[in-house]
Amino acid sequence: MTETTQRWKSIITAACFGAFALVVPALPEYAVTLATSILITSIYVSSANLLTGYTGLVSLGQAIFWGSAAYVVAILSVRAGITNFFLLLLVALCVVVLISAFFGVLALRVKRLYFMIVTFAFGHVVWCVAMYPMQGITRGYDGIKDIARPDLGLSISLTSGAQFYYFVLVIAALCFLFIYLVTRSPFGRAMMGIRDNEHRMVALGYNTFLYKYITYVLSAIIAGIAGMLFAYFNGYVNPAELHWLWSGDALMMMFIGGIGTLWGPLWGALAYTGLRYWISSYTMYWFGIEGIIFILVVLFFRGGIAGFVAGMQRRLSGGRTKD
Amino acid sequence: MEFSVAVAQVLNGIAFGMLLFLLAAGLSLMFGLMGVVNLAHGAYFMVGGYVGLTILEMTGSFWLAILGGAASGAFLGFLTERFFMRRVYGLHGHESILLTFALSIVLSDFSLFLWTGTPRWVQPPGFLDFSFSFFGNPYPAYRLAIIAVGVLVFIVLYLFQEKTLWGAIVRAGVDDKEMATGLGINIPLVFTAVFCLGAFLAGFGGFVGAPILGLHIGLDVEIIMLALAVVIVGGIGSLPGCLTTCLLLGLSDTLGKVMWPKYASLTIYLVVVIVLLVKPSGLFGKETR
Amino acid sequence: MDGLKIERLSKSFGALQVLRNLSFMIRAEEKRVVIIGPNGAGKTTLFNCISGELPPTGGTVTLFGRDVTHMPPYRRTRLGLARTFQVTDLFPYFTLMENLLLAFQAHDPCRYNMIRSMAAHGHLYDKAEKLLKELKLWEKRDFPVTSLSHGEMRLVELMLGIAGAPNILLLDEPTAGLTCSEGVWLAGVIQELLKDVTLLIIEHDMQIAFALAERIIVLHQGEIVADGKPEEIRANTKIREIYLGTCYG
Repeated sequence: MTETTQRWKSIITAACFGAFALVVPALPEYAVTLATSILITSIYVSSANLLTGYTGLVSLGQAIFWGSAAYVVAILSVRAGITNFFLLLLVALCVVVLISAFFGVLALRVKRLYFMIVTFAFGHVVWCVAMYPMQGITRGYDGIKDIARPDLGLSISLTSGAQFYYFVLVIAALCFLFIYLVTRSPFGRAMMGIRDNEHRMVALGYNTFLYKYITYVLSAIIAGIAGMLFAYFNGYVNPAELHWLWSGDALMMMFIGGIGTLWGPLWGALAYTGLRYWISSYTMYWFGIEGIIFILVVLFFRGGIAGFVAGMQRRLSGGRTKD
Repeated sequence: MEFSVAVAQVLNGIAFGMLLFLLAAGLSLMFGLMGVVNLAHGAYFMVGGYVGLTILEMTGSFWLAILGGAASGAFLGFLTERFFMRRVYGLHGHESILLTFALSIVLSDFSLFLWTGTPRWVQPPGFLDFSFSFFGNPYPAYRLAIIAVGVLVFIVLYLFQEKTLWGAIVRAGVDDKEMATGLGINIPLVFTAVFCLGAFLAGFGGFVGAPILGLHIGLDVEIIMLALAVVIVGGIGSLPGCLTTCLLLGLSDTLGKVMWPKYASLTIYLVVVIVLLVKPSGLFGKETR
Repeated sequence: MDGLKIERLSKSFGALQVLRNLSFMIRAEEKRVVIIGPNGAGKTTLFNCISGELPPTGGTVTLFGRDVTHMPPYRRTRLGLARTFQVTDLFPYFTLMENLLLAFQAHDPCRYNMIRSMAAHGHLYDKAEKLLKELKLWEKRDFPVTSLSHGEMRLVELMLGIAGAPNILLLDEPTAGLTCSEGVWLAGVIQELLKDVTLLIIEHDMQIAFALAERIIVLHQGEIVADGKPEEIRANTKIREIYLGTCYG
């Protein structure tokens, strides 16, 4: 298959999915809510994927940025009465950039395994801080509720399910587009080089620390955007959004969907949210079942859902591939 | 705080530190020898406690229950090592963390299914179910027994590690796997044995700790967080260092919960972050190559 | 003009001293300097100190007049130093072409560009194409780099080193693992391709070492025991003793 044929296939596939995405609001309300949730989660997982799948840095701290941004929206809009979306976006991103810039400089100096553990430990510290010392602002365990839909300051209202869904869809599309561009760019190739052989990248003359640092801050920003959307979507934010279990969930979804692929995060979010929704109507042990699925994927289906789909595509197109 | 209350809390902290040691010793050995971080270790602890409780209820024998709890831990450890860890030994460390994380979730839900979410309590065995009079206040003899048990386990492990052939083999494996294999040592067997031993101690700890900590779903997460903190802050490769760190953290957690409950976990983990950034091999750890 | 200057360089690992007070200088006009010495002499450690992978315990490394003793490796590469490794160290999941593009990209201002795709940066492809055709590997450009033969991979290892157009190139046993004839072939390629680059080569094969060298430095137990033209070294009885043992001396 030539490069152009493959390119056209991707475009047509994307267009089909895009068309489907556009008509989702025609489905019943619970489906629209589910779809919105999946999209928001997929943005979150793709931030982890940028860091882990493409750069090779496993972080158990993505929830820090998701939760911080969500709390910025919650605190400023509910407790301080500031509702302009763009203003909140600016503040949330500033907060997220500050935290990631500060923490990244320290954490990226240690070896990969210790990086993972220190992001986990730091995440726990942030959770503790939100629960207790900052309880006055965050309302601790109770959380903050009654968050209204975003106020764009324009005449567009986002209160209905369908309107908010389209809003999220646009933002998700932009995020995925950005990640698509980055991974095909020189910066992206360098990221992957660092993932596969950092030692050689250093010898070739790359400032690998800078690449990792920029990627870390970028992935924090994307996770923050997802967290903001979540606050609007859920209407309620509590410390669970900062907990390391949620960071672990991001990794699980990433693996299930297919690590290091563009659509993997979407598949992962779909599987996770869909399964949770479906399984929890039969049993309350959906988390354990997710765990079993994750174990099966890591042991037997290392490419995740995206890998499985790609394998099916290869088989259907006659098995002619370059590898 | 009154003096007698303070002493009681210190003793509680030491007892808790001993329970942590039962977990941390195995965890630290697994990481040092095999490079795997076993997040399911807390689940072995919890399941060991529950299984022991069930056996106690069925047979009335505390000793059988201890044996059952420890054995269930060892069994789970064996399953983990044989079917999961074998596949990820060569890979990056994070694979083991994620796999065991998923495993602990599965075990936790499984326990929820078998034993429900109601917290359970275990009575200390008859002959230990009394209190000493300590500075005018009663103090449970069982907790002192736990401290004694912890010291005993430490001595046994230390002698095993330093004075026996098996211990030397394990130490050799920690230092240089390839060399050890080259000398004809059956490394896979050693790995399995170490895993089972660690899990055995965890299951044992879960049940003997039950009269103090109780049994509830979520105990696995609470206890693994502290055991991890011990292994990180204390470092690997030194058993006395591990015990010391366990006692320190046990005291910090217990006293912290009494004196500033909102900040106990925060402070401990802040220390963890600082240690990881400044001296990742831990306070007592040996620098790895 | 000074190319590389090593002054009183020492490196110890705990109690083990691998390099002892090494001093030598390579001028930019010198093109072929070969380092030989028995195993354990400290040759690769020397390279590691020069390229920055290991910080020395004492002494200085000066590159083109600048003190680089504590400079991070990537910045030394920017100054015009490059190296290859004894154990082939490529990017295993990339194709041959992609490996080369990464190497050429390293010194290109486009390397931080996040938006335009790689394909849009044609000049990198042109450079890679030129090099691949020169070394007759153009047909294999889309092959996964791990599917190449060992000899071809040593060639790729070399290509990664020269992509940045270095002024000084450290070659750590470039013919490692190759058969005699393959080694001779690679040495020929090196001579042809790198006529104007100063090469500092660690070599175990004496035939190749003496054929390539304008100057030979002999390292033994962390010290320089001889430094001169190939004929001088060949005639030196002490060197023969070191390599072959005194009973052959």
